[in-house]
Amino acid sequence: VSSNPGLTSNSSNSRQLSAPIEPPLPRPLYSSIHQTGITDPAWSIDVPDGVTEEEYERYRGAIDRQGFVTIMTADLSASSKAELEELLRKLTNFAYFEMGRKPSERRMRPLDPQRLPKSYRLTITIGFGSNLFLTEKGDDRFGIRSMKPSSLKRMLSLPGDAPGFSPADTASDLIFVVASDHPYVNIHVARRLTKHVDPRITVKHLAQAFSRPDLLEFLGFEDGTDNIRNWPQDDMDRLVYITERENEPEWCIGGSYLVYRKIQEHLPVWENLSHHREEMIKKQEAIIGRDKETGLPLSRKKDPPDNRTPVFPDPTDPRDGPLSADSCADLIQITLMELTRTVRFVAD
Amino acid sequence: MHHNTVRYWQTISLLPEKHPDRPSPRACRLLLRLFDKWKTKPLWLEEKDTGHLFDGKSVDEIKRLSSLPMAVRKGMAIAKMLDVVTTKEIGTRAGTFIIDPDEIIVGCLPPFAVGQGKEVVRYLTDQERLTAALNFLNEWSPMGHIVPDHGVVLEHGINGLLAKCKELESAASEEKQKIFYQSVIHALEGVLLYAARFADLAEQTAERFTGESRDNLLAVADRLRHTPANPPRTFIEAVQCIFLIHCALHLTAEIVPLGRLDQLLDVYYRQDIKSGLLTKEEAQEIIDCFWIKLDETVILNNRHAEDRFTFCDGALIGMKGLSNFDQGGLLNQWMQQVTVGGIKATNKPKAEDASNEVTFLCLEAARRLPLNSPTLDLRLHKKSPKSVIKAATRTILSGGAHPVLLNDDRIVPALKDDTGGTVELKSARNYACDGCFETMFAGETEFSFGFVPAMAALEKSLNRGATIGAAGAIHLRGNNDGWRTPPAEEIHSFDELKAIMRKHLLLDCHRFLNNILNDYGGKEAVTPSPLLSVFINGCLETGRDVTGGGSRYHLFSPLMVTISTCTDSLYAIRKLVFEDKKITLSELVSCLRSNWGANPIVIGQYVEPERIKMIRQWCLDLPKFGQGKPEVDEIAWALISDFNDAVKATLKDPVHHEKMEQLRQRYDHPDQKFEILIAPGVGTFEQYVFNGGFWGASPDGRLAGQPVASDMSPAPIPQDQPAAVETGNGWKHLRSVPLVNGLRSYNNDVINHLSDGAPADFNIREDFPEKQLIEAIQTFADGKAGNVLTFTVANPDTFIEAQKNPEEYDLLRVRMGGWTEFFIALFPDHQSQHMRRPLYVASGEDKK
Repeated sequence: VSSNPGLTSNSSNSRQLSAPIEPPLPRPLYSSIHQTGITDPAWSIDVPDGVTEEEYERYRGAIDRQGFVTIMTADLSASSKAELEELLRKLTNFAYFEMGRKPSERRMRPLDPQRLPKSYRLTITIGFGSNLFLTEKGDDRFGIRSMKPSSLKRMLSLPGDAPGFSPADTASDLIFVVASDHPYVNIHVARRLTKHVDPRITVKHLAQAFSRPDLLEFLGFEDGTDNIRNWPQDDMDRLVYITERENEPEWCIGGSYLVYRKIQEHLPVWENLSHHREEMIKKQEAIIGRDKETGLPLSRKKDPPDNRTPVFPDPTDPRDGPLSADSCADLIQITLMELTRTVRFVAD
Repeated sequence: MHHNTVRYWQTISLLPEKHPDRPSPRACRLLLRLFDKWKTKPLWLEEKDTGHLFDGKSVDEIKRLSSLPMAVRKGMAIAKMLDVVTTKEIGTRAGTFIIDPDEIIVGCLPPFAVGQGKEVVRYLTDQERLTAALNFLNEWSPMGHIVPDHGVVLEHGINGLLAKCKELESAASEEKQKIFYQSVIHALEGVLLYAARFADLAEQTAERFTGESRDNLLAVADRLRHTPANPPRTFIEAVQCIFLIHCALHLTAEIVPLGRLDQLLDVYYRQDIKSGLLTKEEAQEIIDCFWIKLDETVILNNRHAEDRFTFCDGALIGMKGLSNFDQGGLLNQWMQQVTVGGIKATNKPKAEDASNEVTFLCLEAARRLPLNSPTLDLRLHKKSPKSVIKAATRTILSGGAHPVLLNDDRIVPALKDDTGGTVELKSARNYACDGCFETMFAGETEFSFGFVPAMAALEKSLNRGATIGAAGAIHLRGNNDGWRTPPAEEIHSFDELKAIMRKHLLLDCHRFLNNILNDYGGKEAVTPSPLLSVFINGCLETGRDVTGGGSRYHLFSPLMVTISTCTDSLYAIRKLVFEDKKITLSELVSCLRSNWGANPIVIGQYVEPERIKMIRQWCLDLPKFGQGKPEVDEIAWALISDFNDAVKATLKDPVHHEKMEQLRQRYDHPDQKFEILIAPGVGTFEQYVFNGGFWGASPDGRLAGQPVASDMSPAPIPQDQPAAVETGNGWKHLRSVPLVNGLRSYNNDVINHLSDGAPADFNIREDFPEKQLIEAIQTFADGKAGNVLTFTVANPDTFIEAQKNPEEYDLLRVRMGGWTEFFIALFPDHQSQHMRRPLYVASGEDKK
């Protein structure tokens, strides 16, 4: 990831600091020891020519999300380990084929080409659900239960879940995360995957999603601002991927866990926390733990880069007070385990 | 109290680091992974993995092995099992050979739950197998259920024991003794291999890590290189040693508990604290990690259950019969049990309290770790420190249904003086539980039990010697199972009825003893226990296996079951038939034969359906045992007294003298007199559902085939009757009883006769006042309640919600005697039983 060619020197030293960064954007890594689409495309760590360190600080080593995501879950009707292997090979070949395709310029009119990017930066990431190893009803269809990654499990029911919501109903054998810079590319891949790869793959659910170009999410706060990245330390490489130190089955090394959960946002409630706008914003900020305008954390202390990393409250310090189970800002500060949150901003 | 794992983590993670509710970071990491394991199906050894001792051998080699004494082959099979489970391919696939880099105590227990069965390495020849099968025995027949003395290996180490065995083998005068020692040597060598393999694995795993994990794994390897081969030197080595031996026993089909852990570890704790090698916090972490290791194979989803039973698993001496899946009972019961507290095992006239710092470490682990295993048993007595009672109260209120409480002042004298033989005082004082709740001399006895159902005696008394459960189209009057006694219309008083019951009870006690005497020693020829024998005093000394008279004591328990159901039924008969004369006994018997009107094919007096309905309602409305009503409770005490008299009369009856004498001649040893000891008790265990299936409708209003009261617990509300009503402000239980009243029902010295234990399981609310619970436990410790007492902490609403949303209640635990279970993992009839047990409330609350 650290050697990923992202922004390159394509502008002169005379470019103004306020000028937007122009393409080429970071490219996915199609030949890496990791699956593509997990921590790539990402901005390079090296500061590109023509850009100041200060200007580039919030990009360095960070993921540059594609604009559109399609998430699909699927079950397999294979009946043996050998069949499973065959299907996984087919899927691998399919993914590499689609990711290798270039936008076709055949039908471009003379004045069009600049509207067509060199790449839609398609990534197809394939994940195994816990069901693949052991179904909810206790069936180990492929005899691979003992190979299950230690923490792989179906989504838990959580306090506050919608009435009647049962995560078990959404559990699947496989999950596909298809990301690109254009929705038509995702739709194409989804159709091919649904209809043409193998009839033993049954797509159960499909969610189309996008990122807002203004980096905000619908609650009005900047999204993913506190995500880990590979600068100033190699946190992303270090924390996202399973290494031999994790005591996972050997085949998992270099892989990662994906937690997929759709969260329903009750915007009318959120937008009416108070009748007074200022008070409403204060309440929203207290829940999120950040200043809505600047995105800066509300913690007493802030860490680089750019003071955007909160220093977690110290529950023994009276200035912070005890942590509260009702505060999102407190809840995300669980220190018992190393939690990493690689946000894929998804909204139906 | 935490209802689910998510809420648990939310709470724990918001606590400051040194908060007493928050385990150490290491324990938290292990706990997190443990919860993940619970959500999946435990890994199992397959039959092909374990196979037969002869597998892969040449014809000549099989011939040679076949010619070896069977006991020697059993020792070799133990060694093979410990080899197989620590090979990389099988061990990884079956989950028997895995180390987590955070673990400080290593080893892997198999998921051989009492309710799911087990796998073994077979060793019998075809001919031996057939002979064994005719006696309902096979290689799966070891039962465990006795308390090994881990002190033996703590003192000598395996190397020391091996040396001793080799010396004894050379000196042995009888061939049979030599064979026994050879079998033990094979088994112990297997344990050495098992420890060495784990040491190797720790070292290999360490190579993948740096820093703290690497250092930890290397330290683990160092400890395993030293112990159990040699006596442990430190607290952590002692815990590791005990756990590894425990794993080896369980892997080789000996489903046994851990014994008096605080007594075993106290010397190491004090020594390490004194030398500065250990802090109290570090010791707590070690115990916490040990606790976590004992709970790794939980299933929360009963779809993940296995049925690995063969037709004669865990065979009980004297109970020749088929073994089957246990009606969904004991899915998460592996007999991982720890006994703490009580009095010291000495012969001093004055009893000394035995509780120590390790007692508190165990109580604290049981309080703050939301586990179901190990079951913690706390022995109490009149002079138990208040601090122990307070700690026990806090542990109970944390929701884990731990600890089980036992009363030494009731149990010790009975074990010492009331078993019909000679028992040393310090042995009685050293009792521990067998994995469930049965009390026995730790590391000194074999054990088996049989059932003497009170309901059988009652049914036969009412029904001319036939049980009522089978009345109807098949057996008409019922199943003839006892003396032909007078019909109901000829029984004119309650005393007459009781006299008839005593006759039936006596016959059933004779049958129990007769079966034991006929069957004794049979297991030795099929399924000896050389490894377990090492840990049972008397076996190495006499050169005999524990299955062949080797242990110092030979303890057997006739267990009277269905006491509460029978008491409630007898009270209904006395009140409605003989006192109020609202119905006749014949009329009542017809009601019962008809299953309260549900079964039309009935002989005897015809009773109109409407009248049957009315009579049943009268029966249902009567007070029950366990509510502190003297008029009901006195019937229970008389029943227990009659049972005890019958047991004593049985032991003295000349009808058994010849067989007793034969056993004495066979097993008497110059240094060890052979005596059959009888400790009566109570014990449906998990079989209150299964057991209820045998009995017809009962005069307490229960329908035929429905579950009966568990152990000595008050009976549940019958399953066809409402147990709770919605009040608009939550659910109200329809049988709410002040706890102080409930305890009064058990305040009678007749219970001392039940020296094998008579658990009363009480449900209390989650907000039960701590002060009142301390007082209740003090009352129990003072000897003003029963001899075994347990508490399940759950509101009626919690049970109802848990049935609707199981995942949100994945930490809700309930207890029945020695069995703690996750409520959501229970089969429906079991869940219903727990919901229908009376709710014991704080004083005054029943009137709300």
